[in-house]
Amino acid sequence: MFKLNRYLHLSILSLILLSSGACADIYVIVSAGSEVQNLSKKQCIDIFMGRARKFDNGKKIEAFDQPKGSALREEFYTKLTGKSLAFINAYWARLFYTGRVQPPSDHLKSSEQIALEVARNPRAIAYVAEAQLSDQVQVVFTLNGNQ
Amino acid sequence: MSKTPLNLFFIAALAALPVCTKAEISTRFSGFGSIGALTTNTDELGFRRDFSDPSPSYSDEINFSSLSVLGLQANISLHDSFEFVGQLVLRDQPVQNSDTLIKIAALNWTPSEEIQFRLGRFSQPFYMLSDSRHIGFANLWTMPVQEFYAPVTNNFIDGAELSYKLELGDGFLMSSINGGTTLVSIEDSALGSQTLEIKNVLGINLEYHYGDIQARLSWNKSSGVSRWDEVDAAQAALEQITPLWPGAKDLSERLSLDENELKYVSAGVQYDNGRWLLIGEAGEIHSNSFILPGTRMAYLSLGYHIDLFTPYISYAITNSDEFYLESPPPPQVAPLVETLTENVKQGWDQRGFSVGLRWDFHFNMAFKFQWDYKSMDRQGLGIWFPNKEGIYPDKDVDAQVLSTRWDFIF
Repeated sequence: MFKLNRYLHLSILSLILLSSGACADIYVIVSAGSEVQNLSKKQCIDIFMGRARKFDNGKKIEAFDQPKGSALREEFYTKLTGKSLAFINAYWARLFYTGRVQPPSDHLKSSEQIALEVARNPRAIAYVAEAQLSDQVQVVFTLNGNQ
Repeated sequence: MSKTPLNLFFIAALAALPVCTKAEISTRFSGFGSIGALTTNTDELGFRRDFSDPSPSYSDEINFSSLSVLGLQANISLHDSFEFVGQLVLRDQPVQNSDTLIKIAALNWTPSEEIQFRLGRFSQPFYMLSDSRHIGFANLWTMPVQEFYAPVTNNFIDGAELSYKLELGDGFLMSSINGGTTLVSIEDSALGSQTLEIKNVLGINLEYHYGDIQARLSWNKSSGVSRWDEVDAAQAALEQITPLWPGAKDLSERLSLDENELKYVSAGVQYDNGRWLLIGEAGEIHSNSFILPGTRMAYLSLGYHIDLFTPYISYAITNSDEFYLESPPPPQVAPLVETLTENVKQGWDQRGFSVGLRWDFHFNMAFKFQWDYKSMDRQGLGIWFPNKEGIYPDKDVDAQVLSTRWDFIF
């Protein structure tokens, strides 16, 4: 009886953890054929905050954001930079509307479209959840769910 | 408007087109805007956001134009390294034409990670907010700190800029040099609306970014201001009385902008760790002109992020050179001299304390509310307009300003 109760407790706890999604990793991906192999957290911050314009191979970076209002977008920037999405948006407004730097493109409507774009475009970089990973993309940085 | 920079811009654009294929061209349209309102508790002076604000605010009036703006931007990316940027900004300003509406029309060439070259029309970054002060959503306050940014009325430079980025450990240094011509829109209480062209503008800017800290040093020099009819008339009158009063020659030179060189020097720092926000700047204008006198100004703002809210406080101070005459005019010309110099006697001697709140209620929108307390010394009221009769009070003045603003980007 005691063992059944313990297993029941563990099962309930696992269900709670899995359903919350709070610990899900976020993956920064490039095309499977891209020369980019691994990126550090600082390099990812530089790319998604507009401080890096080109990859080490000299090719222009085309970064893609999740759609506006996306929960994944907010979670990504909060975990990557430690700042709120409001801070990130105000930061980009200051840079973008002075005409110097463009923010990541957010015109794609879903994670699936983003993953397809990254798969076909050797200059693209984006972030997705585990469900969008495939052999057509490679992971260059993982943002752990518990960061 | 000076045509040369835009001509250069279009020549460069045509030269860039052959290296691009249709598949490489991408276009992005966006915009920003604000709807704001402000009021003040005094009729002795009229509040204005800066020297280009043509609509002063008095007590019992709610001003909706001074803080409202709409900006539309197009980014056209060509190839790996070329991008066109165009921006129109609609706001209340003394002169409305294509020259004053177009804020950006530039070709950006980024041949490497480190270098960017811009040609055409773009914002000149000689203060921390000088190139982003119209973008309410990007800034903390309902309006840029009046004591510091009131004299900043040039919205762009027509010319060229070269910038270079240097990695320094975990941070980077961005240095840039720019030069060209600019237009300054001024609304003067006595001399009316005026757009002046400044022919020779040179600026050097250094920015260092390290983690949550950003620091900036800027130096800017301007000369070759276009003639101002009302100033010309005053100078002609002073020339007439020079035989009677030798001091008229010195006064005439000091009324001029085109014969004087202006220098702007500033240092600023911003720290934002996602919880505490600190922004501060100090600057100095070097000038021998009474129209735009030598001035020292500074401000410090402190904010604290609490979820979607950022309450903040701010303190600012400005002090300009005092008006003086080399020698007193003789009685027979004293009334004329008094008339000619009545409004340039007002320098800028003001302190401001602000308390406000920013609410980021939506990822693309923010709402702000701010209360300002301004304390101004007699003969230091020049940032404000005179009363509705055109007269400055001959005393110290304290005033309050209430402002609110809804900012958005799209």
